[in-house]
Amino acid sequence: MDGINLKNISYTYPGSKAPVLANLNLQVPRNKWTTIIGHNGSGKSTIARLIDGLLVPDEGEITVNGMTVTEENLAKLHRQLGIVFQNPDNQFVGATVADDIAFGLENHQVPREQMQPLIDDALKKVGMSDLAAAEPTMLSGGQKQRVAIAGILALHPQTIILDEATSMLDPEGRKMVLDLLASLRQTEELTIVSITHDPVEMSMADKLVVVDHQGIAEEGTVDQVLKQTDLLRKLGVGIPVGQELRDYLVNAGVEVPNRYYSINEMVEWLCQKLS
Amino acid sequence: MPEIKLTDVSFSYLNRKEPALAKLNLTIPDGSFTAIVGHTGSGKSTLVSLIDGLIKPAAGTITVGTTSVGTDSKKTELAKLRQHVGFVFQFPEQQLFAETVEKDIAFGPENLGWSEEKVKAAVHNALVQVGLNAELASRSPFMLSGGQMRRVAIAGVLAMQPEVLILDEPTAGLDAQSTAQLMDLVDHLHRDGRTILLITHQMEQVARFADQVVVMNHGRLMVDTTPEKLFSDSRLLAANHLDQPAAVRMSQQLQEKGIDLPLTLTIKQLSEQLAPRLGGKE
Repeated sequence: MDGINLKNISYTYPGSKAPVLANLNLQVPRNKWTTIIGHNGSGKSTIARLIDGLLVPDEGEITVNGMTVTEENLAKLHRQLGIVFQNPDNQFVGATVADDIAFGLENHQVPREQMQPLIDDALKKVGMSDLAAAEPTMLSGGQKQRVAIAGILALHPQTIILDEATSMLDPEGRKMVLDLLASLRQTEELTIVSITHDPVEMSMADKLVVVDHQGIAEEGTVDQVLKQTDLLRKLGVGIPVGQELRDYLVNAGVEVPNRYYSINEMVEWLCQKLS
Repeated sequence: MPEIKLTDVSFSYLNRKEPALAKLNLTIPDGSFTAIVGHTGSGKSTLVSLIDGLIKPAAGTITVGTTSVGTDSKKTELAKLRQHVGFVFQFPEQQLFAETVEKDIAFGPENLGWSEEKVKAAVHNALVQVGLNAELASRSPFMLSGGQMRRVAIAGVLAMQPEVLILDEPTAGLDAQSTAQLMDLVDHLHRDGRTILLITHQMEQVARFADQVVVMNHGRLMVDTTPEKLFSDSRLLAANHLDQPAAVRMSQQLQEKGIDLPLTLTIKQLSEQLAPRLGGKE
């Protein structure tokens, strides 16, 4: 079966009484962008770690493009799936940008003579070719996360998981990473799974999944999920700006259709009404 | 209550050619909420480190209230600045160390030589200020959530009762709810009379809370103005790699389509402008 499938997954952290996930079912479609949202501690990152095999579920089964995630399959799994974590400073091992990517390839037993073209190609894809020889400490947060993504792309993965990969970046760095992902989804055949609190990142997804109370509270398209601002507030995630304005207007007694508005759609609606 | 004044202040880090700050002049009135903005490496952190006496100027003088320091000042004189100023560093929860929340918050006040009773009261007040339940006092700070840990770290600074509070990117990495709670706390501290210096990349925070905004670029103070003036100057914003708040962008888009509208800084203000024209309440 294509994509990522989690079937009847339960997981309890060692030493914890209550399960963080109980009997969870989730389908992540192949070559689409799926974003998981939920408040801190809801189990979003646990899902990412279970898919990556960093954690083993107490119950249930996970498959990635038909392959069951088991300890024996991990090396195979990690050739087609990579994770970018939150803190850009914790992901570097190499002395230079190119070395860092080579290190990942080495771990997957890529022969040395095949490495250079793979490194060049991956750095080109993330727009970092000029900085191949740079020391990681000289890079901005956004550049570091781009290198982390290049390290994954070098292995030609089918799936990239971003676990709050933009949350510690400044606005310029965040835009840099999101622009890269938007262009990669056009040029590469990639399944993207992102975990985020950022309204801009949320609105880029093909499918949004809300995790709450040990399971899936809601799922659907961006339009279907982001129009539910009461739910978003309850979850403590950001409200998209167009939606925030809609809520203020509705509270002031203005009739606005109950649907999701991006900033541009909101401006358009206002222009129609006002001119 | 102290006014902050920097006169012709320069500073260079060892082994760097370009000065981190060059000939900077700035006055921050007592009780103001001043935002300091600029891209990474523009000199924002150097500026506030000088005000907190963490580093000594290479030229010029820094005055906070009645305390002045210059190039000849000794460490003890620099430390006097810190009697007025509390500094919440970036990701302050990384500096928590004590076995309980209470002990962590008490560390600063104890170092000021306060009596046991005074320290106890200060810790209690600080916990209330940051909105943490008193029951958490005896817990390990490391068992708390990220947002709670950050509030413990801020309580540790507030317990010393500083008149000036510096916050360096206090909401970085927090979710929307924790961000809103923390900014409400900062706003409340400001209304209570404290001078706030906020380093931020979030232009929404500048628009909503600040009454003065200082733009830094390559170690120079580019402009010292109000949020209204800064955000209506798109050329100045672009030259300093700064975004417009979404409400400003939306009101400009509407203006461009021929709708007569003043520049609004927040979504709430924009709604207040629009609602009456759309059949809603004033």
